[in-house]
Amino acid sequence: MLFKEKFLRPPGARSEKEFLSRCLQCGQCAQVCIFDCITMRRGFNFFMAGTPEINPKKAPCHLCMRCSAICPSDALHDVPIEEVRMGFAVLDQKKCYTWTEYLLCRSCYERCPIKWRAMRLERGEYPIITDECAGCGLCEHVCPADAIVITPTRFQTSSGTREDEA
Amino acid sequence: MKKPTLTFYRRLFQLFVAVIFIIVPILNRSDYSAVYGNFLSLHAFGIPLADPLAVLQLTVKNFYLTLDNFIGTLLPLLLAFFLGTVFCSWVCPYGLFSEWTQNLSKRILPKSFKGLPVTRNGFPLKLVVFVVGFILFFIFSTTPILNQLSTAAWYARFFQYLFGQDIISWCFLFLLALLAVEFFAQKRLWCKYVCPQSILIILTKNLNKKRLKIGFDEEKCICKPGYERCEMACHLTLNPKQVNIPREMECSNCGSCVVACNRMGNALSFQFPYGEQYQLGQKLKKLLPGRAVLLKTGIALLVVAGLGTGTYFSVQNIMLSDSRPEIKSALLADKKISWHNSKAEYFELLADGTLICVGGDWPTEGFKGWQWQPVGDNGSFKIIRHSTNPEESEYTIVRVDGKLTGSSHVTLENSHNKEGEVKEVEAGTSEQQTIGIYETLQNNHLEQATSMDSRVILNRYADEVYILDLKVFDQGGKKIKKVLSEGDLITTEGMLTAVHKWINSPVITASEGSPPALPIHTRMELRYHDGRTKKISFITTKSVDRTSEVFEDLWF
Repeated sequence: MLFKEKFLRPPGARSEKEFLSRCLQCGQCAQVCIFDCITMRRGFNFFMAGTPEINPKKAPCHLCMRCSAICPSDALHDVPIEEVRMGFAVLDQKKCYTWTEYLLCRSCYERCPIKWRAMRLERGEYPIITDECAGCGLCEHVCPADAIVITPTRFQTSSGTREDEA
Repeated sequence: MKKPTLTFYRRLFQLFVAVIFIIVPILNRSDYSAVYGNFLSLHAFGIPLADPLAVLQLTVKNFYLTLDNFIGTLLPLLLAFFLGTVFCSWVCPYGLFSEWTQNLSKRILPKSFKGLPVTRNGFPLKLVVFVVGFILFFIFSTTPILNQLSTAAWYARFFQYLFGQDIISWCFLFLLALLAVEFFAQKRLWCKYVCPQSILIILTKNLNKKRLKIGFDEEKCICKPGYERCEMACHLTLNPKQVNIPREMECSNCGSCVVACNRMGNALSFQFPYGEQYQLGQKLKKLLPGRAVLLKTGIALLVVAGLGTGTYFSVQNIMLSDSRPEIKSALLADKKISWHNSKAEYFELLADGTLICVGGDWPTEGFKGWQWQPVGDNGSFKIIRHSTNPEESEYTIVRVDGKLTGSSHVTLENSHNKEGEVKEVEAGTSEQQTIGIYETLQNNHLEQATSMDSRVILNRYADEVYILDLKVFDQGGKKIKKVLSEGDLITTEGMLTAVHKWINSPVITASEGSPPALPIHTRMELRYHDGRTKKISFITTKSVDRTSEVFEDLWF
């Protein structure tokens, strides 16, 4: 509430309001995550404490979908991997090493779990992100230039309000 | 020796639960556990358990109940229906700490200190907390905020934060503050007056008049009025002798009063659900089968199960033994063989046709995945390398001059078999070598050997650029979870994603301009989804010449 920050919910999360009203804050998704990418939010905000979030800078989601399978209250519901929309990767072409012709880097493309569909190489070199991006954050995690940032699809703020930005 | 009292067993169980919730996050961190969750919702060996209050909040808000939550709520409520609020006295870790605090306070503080003089019925206040919290949740909040009042959940969450995320949560201060207040009040204030989690189980247990209760036999009571041991023993400041008054619903069946009374007149005792006091126990006993019938049924079941498993395994063994006929070649079966300039330190030819490469370019634990077949009678054999495409397999024929001995000469012929069509031996691919090792195999490496899972290759490219490639193939797909690798040249951690093949990136350049110092040690650890781990160490002694290859890929 004091500061606004944007964060990702695990894959399969419902819309923020519905998600919060269903989340039991039991932390099972964080415990079942074998990549340790889901963390439980902490702090004195009673409305958010204990709910799961993903920080792709620290550990990206690998879309293994264990969390949505174990969620007892269906706050994370089972969706096929192709339909996951946790967020959307935004590539800053002014920072990207390949786009700025600084060096040939393919870190993001090599790691993308849905290569060539979510991320393509324009002219065989320059990465671009298509609408099929699931927002898992693997590319943000590996990007050496910090050129990629995942923006949550439903720009959430810590107060739980929604700002419908593009 | 003193016989342990009921309180001893209760403490043991409470401690067990408290320790379980410390161990579970640690186990989960090391990627193996059958238990997940905290006191709000829990999966234990596939059985869901949930806090009834938390589920009630979700259900009222969303008009939606999942099967998991339904079963999870039903189990604790059924427990309460038959045994009363034993959760509070036998399971809840806050209850344990609260009781300890009270005991400590009574022991440390002077006898004259009487604590907070509150003896009122706690249930109305609980109900107020419950209703206010529920209304607040329903109108203002989207999150079930009554969950935040669950002290048991905070206890479990502290360890979830600590061992799951290496974060020290300050929530334990909240618990410590509560305990400090209770220390000086000498009363279990939170459990008695606030805890909204107990509301639903208290209401449920009141539905059943014949549940587990404390029974009182007035004739046996020998305590002087005002010095009742049972009343002193009760952690919730109740009077156990008033059995059927409304305040009895606060009793959590902890049994402290029964234990205290056992030393005196033995007037208090448990009334078991549907026990003799309720006249139903007799009827049930008549309905239940006798001991002899049970014994016979048990033996019959055991015999059937034993026979079943026996048949199953014997059938499996027959099927397995049929699939791999042994190769009867006295010269080659179960032999260790190598020749000069072979890429392995030696090859192991197992009788079942498996070929294991040990050392050299392969891991010292051995590398399994290829097959061998005898060619002719003089000890020549064929190494069949299956590529990822089953229709396309390459093979090398090791042709022996004369009969195979420790000093014979062998000729290697590389060939490949594409789509069933055998090609002629390519010109220039054969080379002659001398046998180095040829002896009978004592212990094979089959157990430790990796399959086609992983490789470490040193490639030599043009301009004397040496690049180390670490490769992992996930054969069935999605079996390998993590690949950890370290060695002389690398300290990296790679991970498998949804792909079947993993190659380290960025590229590891061993050296440029001159050959690297050999051998290069590399250790890899494969972690599988089913909990297995496989540690492989590679000693790379040679480089693969790729100077003549032309790369169209822009990456190079």
